[in-house]
Amino acid sequence: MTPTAAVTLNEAQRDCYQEIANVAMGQAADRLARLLDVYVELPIPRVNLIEASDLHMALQEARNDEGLSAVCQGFIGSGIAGEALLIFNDTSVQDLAALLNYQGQRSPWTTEELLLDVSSLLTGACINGIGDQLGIHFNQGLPEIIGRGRNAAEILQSGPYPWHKTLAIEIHYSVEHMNIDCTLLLLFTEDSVPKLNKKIDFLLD
Amino acid sequence: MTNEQIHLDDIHWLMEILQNIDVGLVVLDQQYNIQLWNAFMESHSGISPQKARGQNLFQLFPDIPQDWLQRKTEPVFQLRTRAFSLWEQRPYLFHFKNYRPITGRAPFMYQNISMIPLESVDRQVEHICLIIYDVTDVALSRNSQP
Repeated sequence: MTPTAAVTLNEAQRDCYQEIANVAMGQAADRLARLLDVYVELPIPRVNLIEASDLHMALQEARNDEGLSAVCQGFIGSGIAGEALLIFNDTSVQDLAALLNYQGQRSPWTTEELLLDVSSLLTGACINGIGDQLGIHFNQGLPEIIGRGRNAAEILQSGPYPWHKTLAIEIHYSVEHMNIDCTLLLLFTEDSVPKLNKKIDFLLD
Repeated sequence: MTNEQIHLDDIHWLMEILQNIDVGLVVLDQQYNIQLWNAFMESHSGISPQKARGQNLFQLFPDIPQDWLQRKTEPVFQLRTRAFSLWEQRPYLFHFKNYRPITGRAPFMYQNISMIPLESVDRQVEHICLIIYDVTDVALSRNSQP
């Protein structure tokens, strides 16, 4: 059996992932809402298996605007690893900066720091939320800015990837009455998917 | 009795590791008083753990931007999420001199910092830990690229 063959997802599993992601993103949104004192809107997260060659399309579908900024952050726990990709459009960045009033600080904050902070917060809350439900303690790595003012294709130019097919959870956040919206894409490594499925099956039983 | 012995041994090893690990560890309470200061921090700052313990971080290091660090660590205390500071955005938090006189070309130590929440027994976050990584080599090799 090739590793690729093991990456499958049935309907019950997909529903379960969606439910877990839903709870986790709710917690993350609640934290963002408390930090910013705003109402954060949440649609249903999307759970899919995607081919490496389709990653561009998945991202472009999620974000077809031009000026994008992206932050990636790795996470690992119990042998399950993945990467969180948080993508903002540039108008969101300006509005976030205004909302957080970072400019008013005595020590200057850069837009990069703002991106990293919001990303750590959303990614951390979401990953911890998923981990809590599955009984996994995820260790969150240092974030990295992988693009400023680029389009989706430019952000992902680092392919080809050392995997064929993997699990992607896509979560969209937007803030009411403001120009802020961002997409959080959780991508697990190929060999993590069977392990995750096992945990999900355990929950489903 | 035997169990307790093993337990003490464990703590002994952990302390040894804490003192020899090549990253800085600083535990702070909500008033930013230093509760733990490992050997890495002692070596690079010249301040002993005995002297550092109980001292306010901002009084001991007036160079550290207080409003910046407080803002940065607020979600760590309140929301239990990690926060990070990277050398690309902020070269260092603690101004440590470069300690390699021959091959060290940097005027100071570049630092990446992770700030993690520490839960107490009753699951409250009253302390946080700053983990300080020396990334001078990474910073120099990146900066020397054309």
